[in-house]
Amino acid sequence: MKRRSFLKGTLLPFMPLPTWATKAAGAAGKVHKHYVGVFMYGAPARWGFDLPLSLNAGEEIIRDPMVINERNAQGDWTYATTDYKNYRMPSLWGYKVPGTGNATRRPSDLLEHSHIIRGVDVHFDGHPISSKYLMARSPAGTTFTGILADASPYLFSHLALGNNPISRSFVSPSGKEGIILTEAPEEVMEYLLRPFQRNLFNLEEDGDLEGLMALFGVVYSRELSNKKIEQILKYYKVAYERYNLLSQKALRDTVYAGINDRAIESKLILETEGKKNLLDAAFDFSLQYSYFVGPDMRVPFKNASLDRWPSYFAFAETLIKFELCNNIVLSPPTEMGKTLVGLEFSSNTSPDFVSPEFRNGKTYFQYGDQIKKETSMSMDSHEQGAVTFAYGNALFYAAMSTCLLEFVEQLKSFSHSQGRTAFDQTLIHLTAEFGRQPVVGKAATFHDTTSHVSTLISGMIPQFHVSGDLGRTGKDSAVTYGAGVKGGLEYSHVMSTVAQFLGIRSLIPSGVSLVKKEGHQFSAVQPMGRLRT
Amino acid sequence: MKRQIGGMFIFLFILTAGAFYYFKPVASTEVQLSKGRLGDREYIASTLLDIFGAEAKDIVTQSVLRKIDIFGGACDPTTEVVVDLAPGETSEALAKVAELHCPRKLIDGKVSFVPKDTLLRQVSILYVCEKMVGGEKTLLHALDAQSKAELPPFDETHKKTLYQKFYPFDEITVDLKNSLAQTDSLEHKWQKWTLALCASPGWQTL
Repeated sequence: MKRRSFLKGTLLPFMPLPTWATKAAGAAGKVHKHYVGVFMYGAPARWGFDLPLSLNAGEEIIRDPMVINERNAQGDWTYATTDYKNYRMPSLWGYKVPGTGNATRRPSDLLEHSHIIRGVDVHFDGHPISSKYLMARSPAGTTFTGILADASPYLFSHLALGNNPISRSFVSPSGKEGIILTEAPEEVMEYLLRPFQRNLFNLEEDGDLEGLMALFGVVYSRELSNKKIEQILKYYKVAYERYNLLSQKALRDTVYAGINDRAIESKLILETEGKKNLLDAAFDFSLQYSYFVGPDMRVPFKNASLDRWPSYFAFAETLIKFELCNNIVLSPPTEMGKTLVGLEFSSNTSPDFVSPEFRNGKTYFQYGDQIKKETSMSMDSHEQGAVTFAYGNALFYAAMSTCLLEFVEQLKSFSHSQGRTAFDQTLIHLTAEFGRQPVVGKAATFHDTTSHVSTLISGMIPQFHVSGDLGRTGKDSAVTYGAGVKGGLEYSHVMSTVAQFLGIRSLIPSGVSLVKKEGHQFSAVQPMGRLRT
Repeated sequence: MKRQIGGMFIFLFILTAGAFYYFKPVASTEVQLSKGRLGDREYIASTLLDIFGAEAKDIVTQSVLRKIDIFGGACDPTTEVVVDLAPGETSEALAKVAELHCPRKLIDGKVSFVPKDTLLRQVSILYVCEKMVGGEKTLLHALDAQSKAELPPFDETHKKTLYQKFYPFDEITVDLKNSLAQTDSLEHKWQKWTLALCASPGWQTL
């Protein structure tokens, strides 16, 4: 008997050598769902995107200086909506965004299989602590991604891109460890896969060496051949270029009516009535302790990019395409999540370069020399004035929906188990640690723990649905902008809903799932826009 | 009495079945090998450099020291790294060393102090070890040989010598008689033995 055969028959079955034999459809017929969490750490305001402020045409929307998303024909900023089926959604859903080649796509296509859960109470205010509670029922406890990982038959049971409390939250019941990747887009897939390359020996064909490996308890994977590694790396590179190109087209080349179809001018503020600091005086155009001055707001945004999101979507697409992982968490590369990076502002409009002088009831500002500086827009948008905020968010969400549409399109093209596509077995969870509310009496936004939004996108969702109490919008400004009502939705509802989709137990079963299984799909159990019947 | 005993058996059966159901083993693709705390990137790198010599520096730097997410070992970016400069080395060299130990500054401070036992770490060690045994100078250094012509015989004594470089304080628990195919060259035999030892998880545990 050859050594290899002997070992296979005796020693190897007891060695912890992974076989990765079962994948999407397990040996027992269990279908392993994919989870792709898109966590916008920093919690950007969502009312320009997936937070409907009212659903029905007759309902009033309470106005606020910060709740704007489009300029009307007179040049005034307003909160505009678009009709989707019988519902009223933020105007972005009526845009056309770039598709591959010269094609365009409608973000509203995403809504067809979406379930938006709004007005969710997450209880804790603070980015890190709220993030932990998004994943687990206690700050150091088992995460739902950990439960999914323990059941995962895939080579990588959990992968998290980014570096913040979301990416670092993973805890599995079995003690299995997740992998966090923080490398730059060009290197991240190489970083993950290159170590699997075998350079000297072919362990598969060398029974002697295989025996030695078993003797010393060495674990290795047979799943990735050198050829397959090169194939995956090549695929990722092409996918990354595709998402990058699409997001750049969405940000730079696409004209969105009411946003970047005309120049927006902002003049240098030399004096203002009363005693004011610079940013109060220039708040509409402020951005992170600076403010925009110029004849055309498109100029400082002309080189903007979507930070690492294009590479993240390419990464997730590649992992699903090659069936390497079904448990993927995407979040910003640092604790300071950005909506857009690469903006060009002038440094002389930052308070450090301005001398305010108060005399005769007015404040006069003197500026230093203009120096261009690169800046970015934070998801944690405390210091963003109304216009900068509305303009930047419109571009950000247009580009994000461009990437999401491409991601969904690709998933639909991948065949999965039981004759379905990967989209039919994947749950995309677009979320953040809490919501935001405009600050009453001041043009700004602040955290709101009752305004959490989770948007679920999946082929498992048969039709568009919104959960969350919209019954008091138009009467209560906080509810209009996304706050939940007393006795309304808790994050436990979201967690149980996600668990229901993924076929795992909920960490907080007291929160009832908002969907029920019907065949391979999951329909909503609450009426549209209402928490309770 | 019989009924009581029978009832007790049924009760014990239900208890056992329940416990088995509750504590049933979970499907696992990534196995937990380490019994104790794993050494971090600095520990792994210094061990490999000790065994494989200065020629291993580039690959160890690239594939271990810089792989902070894989091998763990956070750095404190606010603290200057204390190193002994070799004669003639300048402060530029010191800056490079500091950059090496904390290449991404603040991000590296967020890495877990406790290294994680992941499949990626396990295959990364194998990757580095293959490079070590594939390099002539590194292999010769590990085997205390000056040239390929002076490779030690592949016998128990010399296998034990190499074993103890990785496991200086441990009893030898593997069968040193384990032989390899006669068709293998002496160099190939040593490459395989060294590779298996180098990639073994035991020495990586503190």
